[in-house]
Amino acid sequence: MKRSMLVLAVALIALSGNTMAGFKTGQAVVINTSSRFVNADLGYVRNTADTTQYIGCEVYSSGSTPTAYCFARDAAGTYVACSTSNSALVNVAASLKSDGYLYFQWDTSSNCTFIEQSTASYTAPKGP
Amino acid sequence: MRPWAILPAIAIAAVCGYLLGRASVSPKAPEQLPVPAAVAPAASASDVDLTRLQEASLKLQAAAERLEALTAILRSLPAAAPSANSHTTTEARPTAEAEAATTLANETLNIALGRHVWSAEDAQAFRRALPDLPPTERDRLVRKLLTAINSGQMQVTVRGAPF
Repeated sequence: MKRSMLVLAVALIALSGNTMAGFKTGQAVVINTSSRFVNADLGYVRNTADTTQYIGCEVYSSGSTPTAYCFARDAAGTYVACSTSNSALVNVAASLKSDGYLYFQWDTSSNCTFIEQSTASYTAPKGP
Repeated sequence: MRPWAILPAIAIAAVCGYLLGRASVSPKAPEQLPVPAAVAPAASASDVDLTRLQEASLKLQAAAERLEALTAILRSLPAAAPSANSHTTTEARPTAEAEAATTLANETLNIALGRHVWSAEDAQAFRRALPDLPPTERDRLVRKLLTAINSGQMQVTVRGAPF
């Protein structure tokens, strides 16, 4: 009996070890107002304990040229946003994945000048 | 000598005097417009008139070249930012909805800039105006808002997208 319990415990430990394997990242919202960029893992930010930080993009069209707005707030409360009607940048913003990574830059006129999004195994999925 | 015999000589002298007088007319003042060729009397197609026409033609050519050069300079200049309550001439005349949306968005933004806070109510009003705003006005206002936010002039109390 004791032996079977021991085997079961070892198997559980081994199994749990397997589920924890794999490279993971956890990027909170980081805003650099002097270099004018921000980045974060969407899922990780969603799962953080604080209720302040968030990041995202929105694509808008009223029948004319579509426009994208990207915005973020860090844990300290700093808020930044940019907009663009550049079709290439709008396409990147529109393709942003739910659990992806987002990085964007803006110029002094608040035009988005660079938007990067990536989807990879190492970004955390959103919890409830 | 009979008196009638000198009449042809008097007539010839009068004609020569007239022609000499026309030839010695001073150059045309700058404010005088050149006589268009189409309306120039056929009888005045003398050497002097031809010279005038040539001068006028040269002036017109020079003016056309200057106009072309100025047009090229204007084209090379960046487009001027539209003023708060105007739209570019390439856009259609604003509708009543567009004018109302422009007023609402401008007032919302100006009041928020005055109190240095962008609230959820401001965002809601701005969003409501957004679909009816002329594109250039929308771009201008969005840029004005976001630049004020990014430069720290305005505290954002709305959560999520700025509007």
